[in-house]
Amino acid sequence: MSFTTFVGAWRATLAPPTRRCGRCTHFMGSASDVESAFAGMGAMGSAYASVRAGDGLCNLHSLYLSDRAICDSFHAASTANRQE
Amino acid sequence: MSDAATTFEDTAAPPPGSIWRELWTKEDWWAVWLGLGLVIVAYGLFLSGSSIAWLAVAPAKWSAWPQLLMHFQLNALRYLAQFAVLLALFSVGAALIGYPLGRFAAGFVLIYVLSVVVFAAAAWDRALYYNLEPPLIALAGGLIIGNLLPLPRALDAGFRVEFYIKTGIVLLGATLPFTLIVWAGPVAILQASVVSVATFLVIYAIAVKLGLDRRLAATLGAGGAVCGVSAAIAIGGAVRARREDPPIAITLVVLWAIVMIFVLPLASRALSLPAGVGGAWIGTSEFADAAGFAAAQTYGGFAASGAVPGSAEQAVAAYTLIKVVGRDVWIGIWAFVLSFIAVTRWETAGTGRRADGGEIWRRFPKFVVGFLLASLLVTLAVPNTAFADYNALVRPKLILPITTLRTWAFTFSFLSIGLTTRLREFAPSGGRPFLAFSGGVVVNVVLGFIFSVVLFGSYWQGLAH
Repeated sequence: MSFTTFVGAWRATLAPPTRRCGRCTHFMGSASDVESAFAGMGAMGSAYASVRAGDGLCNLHSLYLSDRAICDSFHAASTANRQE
Repeated sequence: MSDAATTFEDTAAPPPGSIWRELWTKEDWWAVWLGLGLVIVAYGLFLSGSSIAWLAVAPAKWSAWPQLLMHFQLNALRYLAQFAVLLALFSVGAALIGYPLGRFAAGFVLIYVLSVVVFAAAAWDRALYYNLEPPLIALAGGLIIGNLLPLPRALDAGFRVEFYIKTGIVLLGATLPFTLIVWAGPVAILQASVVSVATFLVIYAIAVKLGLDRRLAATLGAGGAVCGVSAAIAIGGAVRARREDPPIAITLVVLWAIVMIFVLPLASRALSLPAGVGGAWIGTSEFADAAGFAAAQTYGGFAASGAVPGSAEQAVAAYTLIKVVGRDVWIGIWAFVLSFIAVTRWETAGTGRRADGGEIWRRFPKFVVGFLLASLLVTLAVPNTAFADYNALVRPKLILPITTLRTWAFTFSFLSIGLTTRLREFAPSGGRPFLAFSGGVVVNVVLGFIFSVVLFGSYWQGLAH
């Protein structure tokens, strides 16, 4: 395996899946939405911080999870409404 | 295939440059740009023979009202300039991060005015007699105003606790020698890691024993063991918590953190703990950065007044080493490990994801990069300076003005904590989560005391001496 092929394969493992929560119509991942959903978060935290990465709320499963999660109930959001 | 799916498949790859967007859309990076920017400007002015001290104005000690009024009259232009510069800098960041700019600016005006009041109150020569430390004044004042007065909610946009405290931490880095961070870092990491792991396991074990969901248990554990609300939301997302879980952790973290702002400094003072030792205990046993800085700065104030041995900077330095270097930077690893456990053992029906090492960097608190760079910059910029020159030139023209600006940023944060902690709005935690979290608090405080006072007491006492 050449070095270039190896690097490409390694980068592929890091690339987020295309059919992921961050691109789903059920996902609410904007920082303002997360802060509105979690009362008191702004008192000693922030949804605009690095630690949140791209986490958000799944309105279908009532979960708080990474935008990189995947699911059988994935339904693509329109480009205009995508949270990412 | 639907149009939506077609649209998605056609644009499967992320847009070019999206991985770089974080550099101007995340709070952490803006704390780095603003904090480092101020440090670089301060250093540039210092090199040119000038100083940023003109901008770093704050009320001087006063004993009678006419003195205070005279101070504001003589320095009105400096305060106006300081307000304008800070408003402009924070507003640029706010706009690009995505806060509503007009509301942010309006909230910042209130924060600045209240901060002037806090500074003035703390500069009263009788303030120490009444234990009126600036962080406590800011916190108490914010709590009273936020909970009793009908402030327009739109102003909340300017009460950005984390934005201000992170900027302050980057400025703090410029006042800590990098050699100190390298020298003391390993001990801080050892102490913080042992106590963090123990606290997490206690909270998790009690929570599971009480029948709570493992994902909630992990979220509570991280909130109590690592870095408060930030850890709770990071781990909540990493383990795919239920929607109602993070608010429970947030409630418990905030309430206990506020309690500890008062308890830890007062307990340390009752035991006459040296400043560095008290700061280390606070760094080990407080939950959130902002709350911890309030407690550490309070204890530093006790030291400055002579109530406890040591210096104010020792308390803040010890706290920073434990909390920022010893705990905050590891959140990405906690998230990766718990994500792996969640994926392999707590699989949530209908969702899934492989745990990947990218979590470690994605969730890394990037403001720490600015903290380290600021420390390195100033350390390299003033090497081998003679002690007399350092005290006569470097300290008054470079270090002290940066310290003053840092205190302003911290005061903005402490006020914001109070103003945004609306007790009626927090989610009810429930009895079992409260018991689990509180069990961890007890262990955390006791272990923090043992490590800070018994095992490493002499080490922290001599920190940066």
